[in-house]
Amino acid sequence: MTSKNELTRRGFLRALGVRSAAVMTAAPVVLTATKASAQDCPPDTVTFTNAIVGTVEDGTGTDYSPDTGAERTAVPSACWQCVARDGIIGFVEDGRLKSIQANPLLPRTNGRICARGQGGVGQVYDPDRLLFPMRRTGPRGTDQYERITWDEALDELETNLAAIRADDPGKFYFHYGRMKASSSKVAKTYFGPAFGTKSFGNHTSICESAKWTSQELVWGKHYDVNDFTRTSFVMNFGSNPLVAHTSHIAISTRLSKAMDDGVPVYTFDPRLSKTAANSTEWIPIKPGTDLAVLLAMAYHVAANDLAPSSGVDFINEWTNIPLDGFDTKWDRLVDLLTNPQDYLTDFLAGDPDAAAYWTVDDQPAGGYTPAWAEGISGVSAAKIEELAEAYAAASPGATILTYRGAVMHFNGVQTERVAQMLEGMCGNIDIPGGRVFAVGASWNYSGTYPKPSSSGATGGKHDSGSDYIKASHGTSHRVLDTIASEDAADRPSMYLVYCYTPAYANGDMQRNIDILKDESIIPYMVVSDTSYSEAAMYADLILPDTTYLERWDWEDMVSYDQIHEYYIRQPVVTPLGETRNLHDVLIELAGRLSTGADDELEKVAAIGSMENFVAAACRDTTVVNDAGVAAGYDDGFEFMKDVGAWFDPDEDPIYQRYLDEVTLAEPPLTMDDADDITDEDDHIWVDDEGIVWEATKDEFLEGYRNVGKTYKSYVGQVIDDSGTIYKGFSPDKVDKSGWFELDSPIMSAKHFPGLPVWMYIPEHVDLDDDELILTTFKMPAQTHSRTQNCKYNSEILHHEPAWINPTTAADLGLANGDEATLTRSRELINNKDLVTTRGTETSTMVVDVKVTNMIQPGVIAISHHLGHWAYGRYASGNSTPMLDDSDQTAHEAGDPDANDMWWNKHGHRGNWIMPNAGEPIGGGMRCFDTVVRVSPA
Amino acid sequence: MGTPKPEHTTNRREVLLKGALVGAGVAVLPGCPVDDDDDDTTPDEECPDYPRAFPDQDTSEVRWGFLIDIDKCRGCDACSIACKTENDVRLGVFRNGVVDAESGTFPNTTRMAIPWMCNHCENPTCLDRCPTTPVKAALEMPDGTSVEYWARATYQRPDGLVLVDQDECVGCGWCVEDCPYGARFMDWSKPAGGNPADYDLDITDPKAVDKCTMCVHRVQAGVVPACVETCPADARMIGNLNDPGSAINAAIAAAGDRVSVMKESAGTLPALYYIGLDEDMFDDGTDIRDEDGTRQYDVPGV
Repeated sequence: MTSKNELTRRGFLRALGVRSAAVMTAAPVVLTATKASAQDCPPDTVTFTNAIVGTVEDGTGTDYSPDTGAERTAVPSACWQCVARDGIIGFVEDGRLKSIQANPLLPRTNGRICARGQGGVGQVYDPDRLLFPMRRTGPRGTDQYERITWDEALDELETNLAAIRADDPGKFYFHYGRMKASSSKVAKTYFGPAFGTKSFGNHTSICESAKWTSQELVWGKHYDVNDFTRTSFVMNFGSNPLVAHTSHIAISTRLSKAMDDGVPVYTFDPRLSKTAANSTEWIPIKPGTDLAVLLAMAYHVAANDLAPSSGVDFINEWTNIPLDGFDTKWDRLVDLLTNPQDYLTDFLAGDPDAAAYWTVDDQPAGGYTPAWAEGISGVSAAKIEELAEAYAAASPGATILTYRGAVMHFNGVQTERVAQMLEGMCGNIDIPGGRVFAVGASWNYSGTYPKPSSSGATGGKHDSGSDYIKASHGTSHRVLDTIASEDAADRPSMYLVYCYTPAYANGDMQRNIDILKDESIIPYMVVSDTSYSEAAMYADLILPDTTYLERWDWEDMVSYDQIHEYYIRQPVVTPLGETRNLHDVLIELAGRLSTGADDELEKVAAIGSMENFVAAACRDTTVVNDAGVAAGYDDGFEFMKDVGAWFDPDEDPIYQRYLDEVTLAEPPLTMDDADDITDEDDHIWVDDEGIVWEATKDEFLEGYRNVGKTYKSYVGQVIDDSGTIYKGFSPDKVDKSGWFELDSPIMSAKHFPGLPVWMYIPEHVDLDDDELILTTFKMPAQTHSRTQNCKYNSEILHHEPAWINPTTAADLGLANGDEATLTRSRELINNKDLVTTRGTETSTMVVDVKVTNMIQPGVIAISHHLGHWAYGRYASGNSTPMLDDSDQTAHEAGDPDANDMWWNKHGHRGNWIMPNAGEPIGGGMRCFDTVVRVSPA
Repeated sequence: MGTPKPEHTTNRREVLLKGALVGAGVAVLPGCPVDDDDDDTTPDEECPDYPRAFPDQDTSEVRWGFLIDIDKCRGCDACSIACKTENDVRLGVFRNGVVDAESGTFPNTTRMAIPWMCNHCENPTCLDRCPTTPVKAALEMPDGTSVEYWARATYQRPDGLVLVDQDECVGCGWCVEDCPYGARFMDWSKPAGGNPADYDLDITDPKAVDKCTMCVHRVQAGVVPACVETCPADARMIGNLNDPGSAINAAIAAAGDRVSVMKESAGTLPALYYIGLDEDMFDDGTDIRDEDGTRQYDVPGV
């Protein structure tokens, strides 16, 4: 055998030989340690030996050390680099996380993970990680902090929260970015109600809220999935799913496979994205005009009878389109598409107040023809007709992908509504290969949910939802602005931020910074984060959070196979430093704040820890526990710790749940029965819209849509004379029926036409020659804001110039590499009243430009991922101001590259000049509507 | 934080030049002369006793090949970062990557993602000038036979993998210069393990050469390289070129004329095959080397 010294001297190759001998087939190893001098002939003896298996597999869930050849310890867990939350395996060597792969036991990833997931190792060993609690010692934003103990931090939190709870619990405002599954459950279902606050803010309005609002308006619940596994034809509006999507790997692996199998994919995008480049065809489109193209496709399908019969049937059976004198709903829809001016005329006659914005002439007299759409979008009429025909011919079983680039516009909700309409017209709703309702895991927990505390719930969400028709996912981008505009007495006493950077993530960045720095507006700010982010740098108290590779969760992200996928997150490595997961902190705080056995916070404290919560869920979820016991484990938790993920391989994919029949013990009551009801109990009724719902007699007489508890009372939908009660397109966050509501009473009640019609983007009309539309785009290797601290991700993507077409650049006097000044030139409408409410502000930034044929004229495009000024050295060049040098030095030593970053550019951030304006229907940020004047810097 | 370091390319180049320029007086091993630039003959022919490339590639039981399908590659960079984490590759150097190439005039624009890595050539030019003394090594094949071969600091195994023994590397950098693909680099973070003075080379602070190993530590254990394991588009494949029934041979055969290798005229006989490679796009403004021969690293994939 070889000696240890020889191993050391000779290095990895010989070591591999030893491992080969020990682990695989017996192999001769070192025969001599004598090294030939350069002047001698080489010795004719074998110096080192390796052995090979000769075949290789993937999906084995194993990894090996390049240094020693030893198998690394595998720990199944769940990614959290983005909200896709793929199942992963972390590989550990000598207590250190070395690499990450997909968990092959979870179908969602097809055994793959992305560049962000690979780079997640950098989250743990980020040399700028926050490792201990810190308290601010200087003015906000000046990086002056002192290290404190967790006891001191918890004492401070307890004191402040107890005072707030005694005063008005709603003044504890919890603003989070990405908080899902068990973490969301503990914070929002347990701690918030028990404490007494409803003051939670999310970040959905800067993401894709217009899409979800639209889906809630039309088909009730949000979260669609494009069934790429089974589809035969794809049109993609405003997404780059092959390299970036909210369900990136689940989608990209399936869409890639579909492409390989010959499924046509057409991508509409102002930019030649990597998805566009890999598509059957890239169709450049003017930003904000996807709606026109979709309307024209619907027109072409309707006017030429291209729809499959299942689509016509779906429209007639399941939509609430009014007949308006036509024989069928389909006929009424065809008339809308071919003669929208008549519809607008009737609409305005019925609602004169709507004339403030809506005019008949804005709708094309000849209908939404492809020729009309060409003039608006730049997409040729011939192409629109060709693809409408191909889509219809491939239907049922074709699908339309829509995402931020299509929906986060002034007209984005309308765009998504028309996409759903077109999918419905062609029979693609919730069928294999079409656009389907997502399926997530159904975890159970036997613990007692706290009742909302009666003492609180007076606090607001500090959003401006009432400015919009139905801001069903909040208006998080405006929260700081709203707080600033409130009376001091109404502002939050404590602003807790988790996994969110309000200064960086939203528009009007300088204003966000100014507000966060102003202690008269935000008196007390607490941030739980892993790195010194653009949130932490304004905090009064910093709580060092665990990374996702050091904490517990059960996970429930939607399946792309339409099945229930159960998986957990568990620590791959021991949390570094003094880091603690915020949700463990909340559980401990609940115990500290509880005033006694009757306090609802006791139910939160009873959870014990996030590990206990996950353990209980694994045991309490019958299918998981049974699977574990069947596999020989003591229970579901021991099982899941070992395997990380479980699904039922025999489960059939779930489609068309709206056709599930609802069985009642007795037929629902009708208006005819009302006289016989004398009690004030809830009964089940059916009204003249066919909506079956639970209500008291008085509520029923007032009407389903008028009593304010409608979606909670919904039971089912009757669609014809048979009286069969279907589950229908049941409502979630909005008060709608079980119909597929293409005619929205919620919108028409707010002076918007109920049926989908064309909406142009007012600020994009009559642009000057030097005015361009500012759009943003997504690239691989980074998420929006929370991967740039990972060294390998930022090494690949740390800077990207603004893209501009050569023709446009020449007109403006710009050459490749030049610097350009961008000045916001138009304020954006920011409410349902369709008027600009804020004064014109000048906002300017300077970018370097990349002149490229990969983008269409008239547009300037900035990467969505960059421009940090904090979040650690790899993101911004700025280190965390650590106050204990020895600890920080030791931590930096954990990253051998800590002082070897070679790049010094950190990209641009378009949000400096984007206003925090919301689209009128859902209030989602108008991320792609900003107009800028561009000139050489 | 401190001042960001300038790009390492400068440092790497200095190291490389020192090795290349100062190492003029190369020791000539008895019976095993070192090749020089003016000599077109390969050392294998001149030194049959200690061949540089493994001579029986065609008949070896296993010869690893690699296939990248450009038609499938989406340019997502998962392979790039998988390689970095798996192998602890330091900042500033890359064992693989993806070049983003654009061509055409709007709206008739195309772009192509072109992954690169070591070609693990059958006839590797990078072996020609390695000055180190060969040692005899052996590789046990799956059938149990032990196949002997000669290994200098950079060498080729009987299974076709071209590897570097950093403990013996003296940091002369000739192999980095000789690789027509720019796939090798001096790893600024790793001291060369060999002693340049043993070969009459005067190199200050020599650094070891590094490159893609095809994740030999995983392949020997029977699992695919990290870049293959992660590829969301299934665009990467490893397999045994000498097994007529292997999936890689089937994929190469099925792709017909769309299969090619990079820089075929270099005569290196790469084991890295591409489907759908457009070398014109690769060379058109997106060559992986700068004018001075160093690799462009800061090529973000989009």
